[in-house]
Amino acid sequence: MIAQIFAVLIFIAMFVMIVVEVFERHIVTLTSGACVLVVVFGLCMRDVSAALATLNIGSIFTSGFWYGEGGESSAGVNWSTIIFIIGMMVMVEGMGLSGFFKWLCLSMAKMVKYKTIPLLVCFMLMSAVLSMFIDSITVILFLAAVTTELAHILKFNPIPMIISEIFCANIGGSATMCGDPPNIIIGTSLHYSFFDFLSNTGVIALICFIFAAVYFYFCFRKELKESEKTRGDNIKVPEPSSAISNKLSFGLSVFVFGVAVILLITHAQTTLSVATIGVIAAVLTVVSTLVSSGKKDVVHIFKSLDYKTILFFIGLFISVGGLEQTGVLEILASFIQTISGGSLVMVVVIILWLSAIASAFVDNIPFAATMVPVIRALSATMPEGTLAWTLAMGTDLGGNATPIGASANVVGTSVSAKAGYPISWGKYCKYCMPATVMVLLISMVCIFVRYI
Amino acid sequence: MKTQIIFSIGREFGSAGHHIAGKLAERLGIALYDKRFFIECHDQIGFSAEIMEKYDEKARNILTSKKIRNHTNSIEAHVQDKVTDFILKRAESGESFVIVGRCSDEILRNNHNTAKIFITGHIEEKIERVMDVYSLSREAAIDKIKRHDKKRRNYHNSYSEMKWGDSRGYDLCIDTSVIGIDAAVDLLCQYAESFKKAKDVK
Repeated sequence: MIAQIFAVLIFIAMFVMIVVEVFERHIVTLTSGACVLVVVFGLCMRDVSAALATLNIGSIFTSGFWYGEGGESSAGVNWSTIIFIIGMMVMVEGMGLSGFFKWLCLSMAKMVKYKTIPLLVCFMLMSAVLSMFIDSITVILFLAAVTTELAHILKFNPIPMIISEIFCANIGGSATMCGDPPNIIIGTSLHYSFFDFLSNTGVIALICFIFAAVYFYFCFRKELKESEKTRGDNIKVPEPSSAISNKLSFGLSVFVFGVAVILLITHAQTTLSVATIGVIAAVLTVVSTLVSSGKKDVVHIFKSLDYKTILFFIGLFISVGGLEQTGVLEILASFIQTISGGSLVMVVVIILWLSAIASAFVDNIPFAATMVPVIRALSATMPEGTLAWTLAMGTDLGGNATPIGASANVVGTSVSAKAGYPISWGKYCKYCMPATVMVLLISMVCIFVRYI
Repeated sequence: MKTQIIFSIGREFGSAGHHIAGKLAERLGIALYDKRFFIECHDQIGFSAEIMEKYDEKARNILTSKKIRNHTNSIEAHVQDKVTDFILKRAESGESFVIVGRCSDEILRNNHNTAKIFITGHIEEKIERVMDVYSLSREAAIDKIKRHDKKRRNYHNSYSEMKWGDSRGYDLCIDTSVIGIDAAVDLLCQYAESFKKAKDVK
């Protein structure tokens, strides 16, 4: 009992500290993780095996971790997620260095002849598709930067476009296992494949995207059309090729990206784990960068990696492990089951809306990491898949509602503000709050129709 | 080339800090960078006048904003970044000026031509001044002083290592209740003279 109380107190303190941002979030989760190891496992439980199970280091040295049907042990630190994210970070840094993202954005803009309405639709689509495979922060970082650059040249207000891009990046992220960190955690912990996600959350995300695209078209078409009228004839837009500094590096980074996508799509058949795919993507990126650009760029890639996020994940998993090992999450699961009266419909409604509302205001990663063991416990009496897809849609789409709901929102609004176009809470929520409710309702209906 | 001198003026509400800054700039024949200036020169900062009016000299709200890597959705923080860039550019250009607030003491901490001043005053004199300037009752004046000082403290401390009003962060702290406004301006002009002489000798 005392261990449970301390595990909950440490977790709540961690959550509050993440929200108020007095310290950087990786310091908060690592401190919280250390407290769990010392206070909960050491002083309260005096159980070394619980600490070892939570650290879960042994799983890395099993063949199932890298290859085969076994997968990773589902408790404690999810090393698959961490290794995969590191691999993807290396790959994306390499792609950014080669000018791939800017080239893609400029090529798309050229393809639609720089007309603002087709550009809006095109950038929404590109944001959603890229976010299916690459972390949404990187996608929005490049897309929003090109949008503000084009807005300056083509004389339109980039805010409508950036808001739409952010929204669609979060929808795209919900479609696949690697699109959003909660999905990676859900997928690796509950042993779902890329294709499992694509054929379940992917379908719902596609329907949501269509509705969102229509919604934003009707919201912004007048404003964007007006801007075209005021545009002069002498417009000089940079050529897509100007984004490429090194053709060999560019070609190789596209190749590595292609390989990573193919490996992800086929990982259920090849039985390669996502950790292995992450390592392959990272190794290929390093080798191709060495060949095309030299050692200096490789050093640059590793210096640019977001190590703080990796440490954040490790601390977070240990903190959640404290709740798991002390049985707190089982209590939470039985509480959800009790208030829902054992009804799957009620559980779906609770998980979807609770996770969406929580994700709109606080980080969705701790929430997803906490809810995964709860789903595992609930799956004794309910279909695990339905609950997993519900959690994924709730956490991924709920983050769209406010400017702080997801990382892409923060980065997108920041890029816009840096270019002189600040997006206030009022402006963001005016468009995204109704759209979020709309896509959550669509998701709920889809889940009811297909799974219940 | 004329010796550069920058006065960074921090002030308590009601201490006549802004008034002193204005008079000092006038006496020295140099520019005054205050709220009005930053609103008027919004184009040079990179934001609209409305944004400058609303978000200039404001602390980042920790509940409604988040930081991801080097990014934040806080408009207050973005305005502060651009104002910082502007102040640094002006300082690097060799221009002399008087700047009021905006964490300029922290921004220009490594600029050796900057005199960091903090203007304070006795509470009773500050209340009387605020009652007189804003035509307020005593209670309303006390409320206004408390509110503004709290806002200035939060704003300054959220972007600076040194605490607002902590004498260790300034070169000179002046209590206007003791020597009065005109004497404070005289004192700062003398300071500027001595500063220039010392620089010229070097």
